[in-house]
Amino acid sequence: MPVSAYVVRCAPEDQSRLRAELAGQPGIELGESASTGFPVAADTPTNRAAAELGERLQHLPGVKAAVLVYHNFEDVADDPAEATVPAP
Amino acid sequence: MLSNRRDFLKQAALAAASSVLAGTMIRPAQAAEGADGLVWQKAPCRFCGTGCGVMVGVKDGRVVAVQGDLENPVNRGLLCVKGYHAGVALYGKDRLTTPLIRKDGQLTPASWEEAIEAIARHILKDPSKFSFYGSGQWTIPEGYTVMKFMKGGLGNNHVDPNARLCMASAVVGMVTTYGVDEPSGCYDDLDTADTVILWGNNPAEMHPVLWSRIVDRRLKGQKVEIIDLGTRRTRSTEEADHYLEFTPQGDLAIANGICHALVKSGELDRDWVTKHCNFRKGGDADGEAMTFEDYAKWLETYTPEFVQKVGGIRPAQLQLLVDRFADPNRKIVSLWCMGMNQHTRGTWINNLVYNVHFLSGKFGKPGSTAFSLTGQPSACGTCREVGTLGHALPGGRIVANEDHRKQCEELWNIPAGRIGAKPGHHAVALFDALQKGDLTGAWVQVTNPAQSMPNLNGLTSKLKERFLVVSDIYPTVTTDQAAVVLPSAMWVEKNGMFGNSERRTQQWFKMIEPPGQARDDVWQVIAVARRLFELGHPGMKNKDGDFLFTFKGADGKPVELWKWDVFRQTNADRLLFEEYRPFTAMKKYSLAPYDELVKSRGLRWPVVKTPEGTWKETARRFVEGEDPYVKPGSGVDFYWGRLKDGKALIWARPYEAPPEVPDEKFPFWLRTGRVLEHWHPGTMTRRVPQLHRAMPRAYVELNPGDAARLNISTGDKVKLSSRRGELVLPAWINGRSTPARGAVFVPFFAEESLINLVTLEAHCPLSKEPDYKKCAVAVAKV
Repeated sequence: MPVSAYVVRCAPEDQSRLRAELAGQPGIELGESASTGFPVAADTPTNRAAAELGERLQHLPGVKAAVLVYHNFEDVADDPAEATVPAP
Repeated sequence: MLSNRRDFLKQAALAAASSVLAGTMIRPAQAAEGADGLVWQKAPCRFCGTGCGVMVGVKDGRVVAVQGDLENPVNRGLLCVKGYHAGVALYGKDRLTTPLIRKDGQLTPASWEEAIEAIARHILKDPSKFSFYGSGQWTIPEGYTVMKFMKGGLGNNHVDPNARLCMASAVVGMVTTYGVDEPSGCYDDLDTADTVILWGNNPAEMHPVLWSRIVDRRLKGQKVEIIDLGTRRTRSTEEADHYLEFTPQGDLAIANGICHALVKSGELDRDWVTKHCNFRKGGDADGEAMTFEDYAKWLETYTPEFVQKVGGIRPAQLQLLVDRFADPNRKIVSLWCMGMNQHTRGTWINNLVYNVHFLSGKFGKPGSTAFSLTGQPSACGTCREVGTLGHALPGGRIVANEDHRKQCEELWNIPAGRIGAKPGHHAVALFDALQKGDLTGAWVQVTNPAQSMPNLNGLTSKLKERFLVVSDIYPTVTTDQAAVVLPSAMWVEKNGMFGNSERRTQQWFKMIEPPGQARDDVWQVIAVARRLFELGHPGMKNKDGDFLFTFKGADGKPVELWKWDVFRQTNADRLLFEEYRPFTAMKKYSLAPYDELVKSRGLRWPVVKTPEGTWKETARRFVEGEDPYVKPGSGVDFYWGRLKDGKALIWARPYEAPPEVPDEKFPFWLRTGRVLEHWHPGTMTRRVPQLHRAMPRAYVELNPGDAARLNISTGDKVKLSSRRGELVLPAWINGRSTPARGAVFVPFFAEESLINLVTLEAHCPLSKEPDYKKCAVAVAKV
């Protein structure tokens, strides 16, 4: 179950709304806001879910960029989902 | 993973992200255990020429985490989606782990001894018909080892890298403009520019961390204007303030059009030009002298109307560019990459963009520079600085120059006359020679030419009939044709050094073991060299009769680097790099000592020792007060200027149409390129499940108007055909980018969709770099 962290870049006036939207979602923790955005840590069931979360963050209204800054995949070998990806 | 560990890691992740926002986390350069129980070490990212710093977390002999290196001034803690998965790319299920030799048509497992023997015996048959095709993803020691082996040992100059396909035009552009390779400016210029102009460039996908550096300034409320001068709308266009769509090859006319307007209106920086430039005319690398007045007259062709006719942009759009360059207070950075380099007049367009910056005086000042972005992580550090090109030698030397050959022979302690004077083949010529049988063998390392060369049927279809050796990490369409396949160590499975776009040399230590029997590419070459030495090839001896790769240990005895057990215990990188470093002083590249690079997050050369004993890097070359080699009082000193007068050249290079243009039979332009998720031919990134899922297959993008006219919708099968070949791909309309009317775009990462069957090998006659951005195709719904 990978653990990832993002920096969500947005305008100050959009932060409250975005934080409210994300707070309380399973596996997500928010860090303290700064003038250019706020940090988000995510504990997702699979790497695929982590990637989908990143896409979801990127496309939230008001988000200028959602940049992945930390990625721990120490148990990815145990994730059965990973074994089913077809070779190129 | 235990839930308490998961909670702990989440806190660590949140702290990392918070630190990036606040700019406060400290990670030491040396390996150190973190609070999370992982051992963290620095390394530059494996992928693009940006050269982002990565912290790699290792646990139980495995890379299990990555994060951006906050201490690295390139990226300050950020990475892109590829960088984050660089660790996962190590663990694809089909890693090559055993040497393979083709027997009875099949690649079969072999020992290293058998493989080395086979290679050495082939070379001995005729060393002059052997060749080496390398890579801008070679580490510096890897490229240097090959240079010494081939040019200093076999006396064979047929060494060329895949960087010929990406950066050669930038190289020749710089050399013809100011006498020496590598950019003058640096990434710091992006932090202070008022206007950033993208010349056929899509940094939002191709150099995303540098792009975020620009975008972040806008988020913080700074006024940074972005002008996207391109042939298709991309993700970069979405953030741009102005999008100017030009006709393929029209960039030549646009640059001249800006110059014409500046000269005609008198809004050029005449003092700067007089002090720092001469004028030159002609199409070749030498040209002839020209006066400013003659240049002004020559520019008269490039009226706004002419620029519109051949370049496609309207007079008002041209004027927008002119107004920017005419503003004496505006700081401008021009950025470019493959759009200008993969161009049949790539050298010329590079010259012309320098012209614009020189005429306006927007060069050599913070925030004002013309900056060629590099595609690969060490096309600068290895291919260009070590000189792994057919005509070159390390440290900016060239084979055709007798003094240069003597200098290198002396540094390598090899007999006089061993280095050949005739340049070796450039990439297209090398593969053409293999195709025809003029070359009988090639060793390919860290690249995949059977996917990435243009006109694949014409240049790579006979590789299986030659003695092809391929060192790689995964099977590819190139290993499919090999006689010998050697499994290679990748990235943090070996020591390494890269040099990025802004002249920053970075170092890393091996952190984990390579899988199976995979071994370092440096060892592979030294092992073959040793076998040739044992078999009596004279080129493998230095002047003293010792083995060419003789290094003495602390005890004064030779280090037997050709023995794998010895190699593993030795830092061969340090030995090779410190042997190479004196070469770099010759052209004032002046790389820092290895041990300084270990301590730092890279240093930008020239690096010189201060009176206090510290090592000082150079942010901007040729600028007084920054570059230690600039003559005091000169302000800007192009000390390698071709006329030996401290000046650069402004070249009168004309507009010229591309060699193949759409016609009745092939009415569309084809452009090829990359996408954010995949690195080059996808050898690594397609084995990262997240990246593969995000972009699982190649496609052809059409303009929505053209698609409607041809009754093509997203998902429909479309056949692209050219004079060279054809390919069927699914269509994608209104997807990642929007090509102009009459043009299509195809990414080249998918080995099952070899778009280079369709492209042509026409190349810039000066740089020899092929044009992957312009050929003519027919488009038909299948």
